[in-house]
Amino acid sequence: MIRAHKYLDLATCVVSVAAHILELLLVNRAMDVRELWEVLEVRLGDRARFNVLDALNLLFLLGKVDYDATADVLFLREAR
Amino acid sequence: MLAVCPNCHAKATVGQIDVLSQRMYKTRLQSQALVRQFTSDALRPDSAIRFSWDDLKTVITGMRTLISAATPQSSAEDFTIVDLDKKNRLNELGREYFEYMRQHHEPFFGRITAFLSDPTNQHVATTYFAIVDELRSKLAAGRSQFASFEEALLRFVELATQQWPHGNKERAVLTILLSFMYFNCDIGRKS
Repeated sequence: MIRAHKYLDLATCVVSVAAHILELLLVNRAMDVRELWEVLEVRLGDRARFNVLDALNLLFLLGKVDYDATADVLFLREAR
Repeated sequence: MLAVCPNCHAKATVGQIDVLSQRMYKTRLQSQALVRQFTSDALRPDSAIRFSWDDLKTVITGMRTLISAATPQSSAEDFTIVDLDKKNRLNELGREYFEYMRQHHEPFFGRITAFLSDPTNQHVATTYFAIVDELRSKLAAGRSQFASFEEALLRFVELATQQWPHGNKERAVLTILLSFMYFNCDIGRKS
């Protein structure tokens, strides 16, 4: 998922998309998942769309973001 | 009786060797021949020596992630690039063919790179690197049979297209792909 290979597009790879998600959440604190998806698509192009889910998984596994299923909102987890 | 040597044959004629011993001797010879026949190629499926291919496959499947995660030689993670002039000398690629590649194949390289770097084509990229890894070992093994590198590449194209029902249509694409591999240092000697 995050391993680099020779022809990896650095602009739209999982790590890059994850960085953009963090940047957006730092500004907005919480975002609707669909809205986040659309913003990323506008920012990074169609290709990035494919990696958004993997990037969210990565950030969730690292404990950086959390998801509220009832509100369908993604938010930044507070640093302890 | 044919299996018995002339000395033993004479002994059998004069009754020094009994019929039972002769039969035992011949049976032993037949069973030895049978064992030899089925053990000469121990890796044959009908070999008397059984080799568990399924067990081997299970072990390999289990270790695949382990090996692929730690193989520094994998073409996917080989980022070394060599100056093409130096590479041409190392691989003995002819000047004429190199210029041909430049003129006719290089214009497609941008599109191939874009295709391989597209996340939606990730599975194709994985297959591409697997092919490159295999091709590297094949070229290393068979390179000495060819006078020049382009000969080896064209022979590969010829063999590959023979395997496909409509191989001639794919010949041009495969030739361009091999040139792309060469230009991007996926195949061919670099040192």
